[in-house]
Amino acid sequence: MKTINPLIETNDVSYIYQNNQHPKKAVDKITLSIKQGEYIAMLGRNGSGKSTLARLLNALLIPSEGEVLVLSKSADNEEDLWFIRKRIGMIFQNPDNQIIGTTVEEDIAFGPENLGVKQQEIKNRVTKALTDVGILDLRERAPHMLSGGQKQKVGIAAVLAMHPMCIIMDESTSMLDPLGREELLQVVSELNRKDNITIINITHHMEEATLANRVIIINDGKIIEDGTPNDVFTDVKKITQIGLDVPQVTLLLYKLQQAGYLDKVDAITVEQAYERIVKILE
Amino acid sequence: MNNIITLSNVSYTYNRGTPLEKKALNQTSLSIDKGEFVAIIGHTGSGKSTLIQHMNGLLKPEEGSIVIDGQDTQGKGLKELRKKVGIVFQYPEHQLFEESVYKDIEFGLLKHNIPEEERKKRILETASILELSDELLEKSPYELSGGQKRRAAIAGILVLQPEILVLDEPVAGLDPAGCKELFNIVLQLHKTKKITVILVSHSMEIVADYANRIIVMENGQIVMDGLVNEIFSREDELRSINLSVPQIAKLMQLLNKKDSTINSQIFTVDKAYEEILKKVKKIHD
Amino acid sequence: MIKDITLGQYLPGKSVIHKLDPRTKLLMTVCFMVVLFILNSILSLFLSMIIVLICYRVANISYKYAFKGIKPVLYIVLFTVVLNVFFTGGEPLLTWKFITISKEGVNAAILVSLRVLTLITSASIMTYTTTPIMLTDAIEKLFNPLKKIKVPVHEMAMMMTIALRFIPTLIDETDKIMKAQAARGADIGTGNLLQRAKSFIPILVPLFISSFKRADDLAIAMESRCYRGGEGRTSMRILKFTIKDFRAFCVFILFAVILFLIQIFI
Repeated sequence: MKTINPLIETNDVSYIYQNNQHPKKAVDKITLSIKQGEYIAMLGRNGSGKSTLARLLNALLIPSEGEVLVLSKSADNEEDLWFIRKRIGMIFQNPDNQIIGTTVEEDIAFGPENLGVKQQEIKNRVTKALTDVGILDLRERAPHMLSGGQKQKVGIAAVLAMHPMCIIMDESTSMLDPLGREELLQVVSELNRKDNITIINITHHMEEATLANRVIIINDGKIIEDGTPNDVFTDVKKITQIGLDVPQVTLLLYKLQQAGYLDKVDAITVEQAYERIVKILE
Repeated sequence: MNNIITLSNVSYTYNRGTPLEKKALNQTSLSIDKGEFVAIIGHTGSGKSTLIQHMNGLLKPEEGSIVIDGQDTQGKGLKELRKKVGIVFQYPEHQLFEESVYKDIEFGLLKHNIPEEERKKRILETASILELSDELLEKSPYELSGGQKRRAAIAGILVLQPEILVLDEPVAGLDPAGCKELFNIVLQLHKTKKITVILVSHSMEIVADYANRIIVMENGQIVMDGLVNEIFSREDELRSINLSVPQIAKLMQLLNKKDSTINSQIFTVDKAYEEILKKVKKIHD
Repeated sequence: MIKDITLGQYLPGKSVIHKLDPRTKLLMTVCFMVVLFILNSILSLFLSMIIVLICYRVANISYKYAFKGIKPVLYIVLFTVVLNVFFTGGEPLLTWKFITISKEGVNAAILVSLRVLTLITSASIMTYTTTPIMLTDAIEKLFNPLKKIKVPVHEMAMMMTIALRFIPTLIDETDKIMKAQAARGADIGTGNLLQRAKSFIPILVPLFISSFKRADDLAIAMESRCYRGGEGRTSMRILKFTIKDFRAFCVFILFAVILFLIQIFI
């Protein structure tokens, strides 16, 4: 699925929640362009607007101002709306609340069924999706008997069965234990690498962001950082100021830099930090 | 030091006699002293939740015994016990139900027949510790933000003035700043009120920052038990049961391999910084 | 506690009964129930019980497991037995002080308990061997003609599916909330009737709130997966009657006839 146009484009998009007397601007004039095959981590504090932005990207919300284009199509048109939702899949925070089927395979079939796919093709898609995610053995299990990590893998498979170009994970790892999280991230990395599926991972966990090739930081509904993990995280001052964390080793290097022993902070992994520190110690 | 929690050979099995039978605790023995800050780590299904539910008698051991501050949990006086041991479960905000935050915090006090004046005093005191303003106390718990809800729910436990505070993944879903805020409050309570804290957490960074003892569980048994530096220096063993050590621990161990005079038993950023600074200064001299 | 109820939970398997079309099973179960109510000889009811037990064997469900499932119902059966034995008038069989047990009473007690037990065990076979979703499908298909008179059959079936999906989740959640409130000193289900009723508020309110949240989340998740009602929707599961269903029906009718013949002639 090669495309010349960007996969997703937003132009000055804003979203205002109208509930109660206080309208709240959750997303404030964001302009963003996402290409096919990117692996993006989106960070921000609770209530920063990142989940709202995600929901604008797959037309679950319609912008109050500005526009969101997916492959140049806008959600204003009813038919294009379904096209967008099919292409931009989403998995959510609470793995329990997104499984509709009473068995794994039924849940995965739910999407294709909605799209009106033929019976035999649905079966093939279910098998393929389960295989891609590595949970073929769970096919006939009941969802409540699965671990959190397995449930989220079901979520991914359910999206895959709709043949998406992009998968958005809306804090999907936040309720998982480290093992479940690691396995889920492995699955999406694989999908990104092998099938060139765009991944947008919305998260609080800085370690997860280091896996991405682009990090976007959102604060008060605006993008305040957008770049490679290395570029973004080494701006320690800005990130800690808005209440986010940087990886431990980055913080260590930052302290060393403040004390005058390093000229710049440019490490986010243990190995990189090790090299820098060894240099100081020589 | 005096002992406040003692488990002797405790076993517990879920769904006994069904195809779903699972031995959650297997001959577990453990003793915790007053004033300790203990972290329990291990992945889902290792028996951590079952263990903590035994501490206030929500679950009773099938074999063995548990004595909390001299009281056996099999015996009478469960209510007293639950006042002494406050358990904050995962996502405690799911327990909020009253029409105002104030009333919700009051719930436990009413159940323990605390007189009104005392109730008011305690609620206001607890609210100020947890940084819940008077205005918030009057609001419906469902109007609060995620972090506020979490703190309101924790207040509902703290207001009972427990001697032992058990926290099950207290910061799940909170962002880093909210996480720090909460732990600073807990640490404050631990220090000033000498509360014994038992923390169940998946985050090795948090464990390294706050706990002084770590208990590692696997398959319903305690497989490691020791001071933080002792446990984190056994990285290979932790790795073999799919647990990790903080990033800093890995870094310091790498540095120690290169230069054995560097202390490898360091797990927090601040300590690592001091250690490296010491080394650098030595070189420069 | 609540988790211990096993009655009617689907047990995966590959038996002939598992493989029957759910509509066949549903229709047969309903018909069997009617038959049970018409039958009123102990022998034929006893034989129908044997037939049900054979079905358990065929479906590969252990009697032990089945017995565990009906345990809660046994109290009700016991109650009706006592009621029938002691309070049915007729030819006295045994008299002790003011208690009289009549022949008719014993007869009625055996009839009723056999009927109730057979009824429950037979209905359980259906739920043990059919996934809830298959049952929903069956109901949807059987009621499909009602669509013509504007009955929202698809929507009702979808609601049933979702309810089935979330029952175990909500049971888990109830358990968690009960524990959390108990940890704060709540005593649930003790005291007089009013106190008891009141003691459930701290459980029910959070349960309601979280169910609404779940419903909200679920609606969004369904929308994001392109759900837009039953129109144009296909299904992975297509129900098809096979020769097996035909045979099952034949066997069923054969047995029913035999049972009636026994009742009439013996």
